[in-house]
Amino acid sequence: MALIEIRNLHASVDGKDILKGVDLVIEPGKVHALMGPNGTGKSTLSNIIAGRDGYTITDGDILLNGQSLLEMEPQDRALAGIFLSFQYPVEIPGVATSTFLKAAINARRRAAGEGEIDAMEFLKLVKAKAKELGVRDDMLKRPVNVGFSGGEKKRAEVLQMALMTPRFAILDETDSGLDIDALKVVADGVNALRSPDRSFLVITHYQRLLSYIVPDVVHVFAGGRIVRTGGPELAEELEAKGYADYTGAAA
Amino acid sequence: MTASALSLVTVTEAAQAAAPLTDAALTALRAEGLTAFAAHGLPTRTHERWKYTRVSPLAEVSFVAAPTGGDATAIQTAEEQALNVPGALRLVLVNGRLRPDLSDAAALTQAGVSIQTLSDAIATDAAAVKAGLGQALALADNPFVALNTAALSDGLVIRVSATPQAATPLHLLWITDAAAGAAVLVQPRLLVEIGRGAALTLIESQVGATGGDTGGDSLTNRVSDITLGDDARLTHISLHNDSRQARLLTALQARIQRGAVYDGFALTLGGALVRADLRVELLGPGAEARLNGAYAAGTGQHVDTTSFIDHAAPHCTSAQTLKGVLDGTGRGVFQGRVNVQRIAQKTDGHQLHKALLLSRGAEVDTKPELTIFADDVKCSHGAATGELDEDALFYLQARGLDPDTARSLLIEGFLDDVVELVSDDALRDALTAKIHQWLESRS
Ligand SMILES: Nc1ncnc2c1ncn2[C@@H]1O[C@H](COP(=O)(O)OP(=O)(O)OP(=O)(O)O)[C@@H](O)[C@H]1O
Ligand SMILES: [Mg+2]
Repeated sequence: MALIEIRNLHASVDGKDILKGVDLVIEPGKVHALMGPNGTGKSTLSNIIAGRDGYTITDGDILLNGQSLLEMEPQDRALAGIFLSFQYPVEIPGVATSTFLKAAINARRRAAGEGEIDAMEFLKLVKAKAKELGVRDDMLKRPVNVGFSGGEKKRAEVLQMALMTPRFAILDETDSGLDIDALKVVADGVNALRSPDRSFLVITHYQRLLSYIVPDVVHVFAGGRIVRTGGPELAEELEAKGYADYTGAAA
Repeated sequence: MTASALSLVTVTEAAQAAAPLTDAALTALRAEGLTAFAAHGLPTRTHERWKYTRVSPLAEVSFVAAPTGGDATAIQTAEEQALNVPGALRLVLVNGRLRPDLSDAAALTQAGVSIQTLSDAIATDAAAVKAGLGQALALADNPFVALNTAALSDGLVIRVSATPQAATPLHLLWITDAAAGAAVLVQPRLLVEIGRGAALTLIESQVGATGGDTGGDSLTNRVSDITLGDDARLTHISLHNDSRQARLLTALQARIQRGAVYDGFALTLGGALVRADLRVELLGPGAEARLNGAYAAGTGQHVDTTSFIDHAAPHCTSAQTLKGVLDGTGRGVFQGRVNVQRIAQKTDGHQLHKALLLSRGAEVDTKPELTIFADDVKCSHGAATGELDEDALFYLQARGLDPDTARSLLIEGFLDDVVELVSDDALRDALTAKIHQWLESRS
C-alpha cells in the first residue's frame, strides 16, 4: 500500500483556488522531488498535509497508510508520522530550543504510552544528532530559531526531523539558505534517514540538492497541480530549460 | 478630608498612638503625612498617575490593624509562594514586622551590612533615618506614600558599606497574614542605603500566609527608599505573589549617584491589585537604572506599573522592559515617564511594554511618555499588544504538541524572554521557576 496518497486535492484560501487537483502517490521508502515555479502552491500543499488551518479543502483527500488525514489535528498528524521541514521556520522568543525539542520528544513518548525522557538520555541523544548535523551546542540553548541564520534554521529543522523519526517527511526548500558545505551535511543527514519504511517529499528549486539526495521520482508542479512526472533526469532537464513549457504563457 | 478614607486614617492614627516616636522631626513628618493624605483623600482617576487604576473601593473597606500572625503553617504556606534562592540569607517580616525568630541569624551579623528594624534605627539615629526617606517626593504627590509616612514605625533599614568580600544576598519575605473576615492594613517602610562602591543583591517576596485562593482582605502599602552612593550597585529582585484578595501598593523611591547601578526586576503573579510606583532619580554622571519586569493578571487581578525616571545628570542610562500576560478579565496598566533634564546630555533611555492578551475580556492600558529638555540624547519608547502567534502555535503542533501544551510553552516563553535580562543564573532560575509554577497552577 502507498504510504501517502493524495487524491484530486482542491484547496482555496480566501476564495482563491490554489490547489487544483493534486494527485500524488508515494510508496514506502521512496523519495519524490517536487519542483515548480514560485507561487504555484507547493508550500500550500505542504501546509495542508501538515494540518495548518485557514485553507478550505473543496475536493479530494489525503491518506496516510490508507487513513484520511483531513479530519486530524496537526499534532495528531505529527504523532502519526507526518513531518514538515518548514520553508520559513518560526522564531519563538523565550523558548529554549532544547526545551522545545524535549517537549516534542515527550509528546511522542506520551502518545506511545511511554514515560518522559530522562534528562541525561535526552542530552546525549540531542547532542549526538546535533553534532552530525553541525548544529552547535549554543544553538540548543538559544530560543527556537531566534537569531539563527537562514542556514542554521534549516539545519535545526533537519535536526528536528532526525529526532522525530517520521514516516513521511516533507522538506520544503530545506536547501535554500544553505552554503555548499552545509548542503552536503544536511543531505547526508537526510540520506541517513532513508529507510524502506520512510518516504520523503523534497521540494526544491535546484537540481544541486537532488544530486546529493537522489530522488526516485521527480514531479513538476505548476498551476496548483502536478503537470509532469519523471525520473531524476527530469530535474536536469528543468535546470536546463526552466518552466516555460509548463507555465502556459512563457515568462 | 473625604469621609471615604476614614478607615485608613483611623487605623493609621491608632498606629501612631501605639508607637509614639521620641524624635520631634520624625513626629512632625508623620503628622505632615497624615495631613497630606487627609487633605487629598484617595486619588481619583482625574489624578494623572491614577488614571487607569481605581482605588475608590478601598473606601468601602473597614480596615483593622494587622495581628502579629505568623504561625508555623502560615510560614510554610508563605514559603511555597516565595522565590526560592538557595544561599540567600532570609529575613522574615510578618505584617510588616521583622521576626528574628524566623530569620537567618547570619543575615543580621554580616560584615559590612547593618540591618535594623525601623524603630531601632530611629532610636539609634533619627536624623539618619530622616535623611534616608525620599525627600524628593512631595507627600502630596502620592497619597499612599503620605499615608505610609504617617504610619512610620514598622519596617527595616539596611545599610551596606564596601567590604573586601561581597555581601551575601538578602531575601526579605514580606508575609501578609490576614485573618479571615477582617481587612488588615500593613504599612511597612524599607530603607536601603548602599555606600560608595558597595554592592548588594536584595530579593523580596511579597506573599500571603494562606496561599492562592483563600485569605482575608488586606492592603499592604509598602514604601522603599533606596539610596545608592557613587559606584554602588543594587541588584533588586521582587516577587509579588500575594493571595487572591490581597491588595499591594508599593512605592519605590531611588536616588542613584555617579556611576551607580540599580538593576531591578519585578515579577507579579498574585494579588487582586498590585500597583508599583517607581520613582528613580539619576543624579550623577554614569548612573544607571534598569526597571524590568514581567506580570500576569487573570480574572479579578489588576496590575499597574507606573514609573517616573528622572535623568538629572549627563551620561546616564535607563532601561525598562515590561511584559504582561492578561487572561480572563485581567487588567494591566503601564504608565512610564522618562524625563531628561537640560543638563542630561548623552542620556540613553529606553522603555518598552509588551502585552499578550489571551482573552477578549482582558485589557491593557499603556502610556509611555518622554519629556526631553536636552538635545543630545538617545531615547525610545514603545508599546505592543498582541495575541498568541498563530504561526508559532502551528509550528509547535506540527511537532506533536497538543494546543494546551503549545500555548503554555508560548506564554512561558513570552515571560521568560524578559527574565533573560536578569544576568545572575540563580536569580533567573528562581524567577522562571515561579513562572512555571504559576502556569502549572492555572491549567
Ligand atoms: N494565506 C494566504 N492568503 C492568500 N494567498 C495565499 C495565502 N497563502 C498562500 N497564498 C497564495 O497562494 C499561492 C501559492 O503559494 P505557495 O506559498 O504555496 O507557493 P510556492 O509554490 O510554495 O512558492 P515558492 O516556490 O515561492 O515557495 C501564492 O500565490 C500565494 O500568494
Ligand atoms: Mg514555497
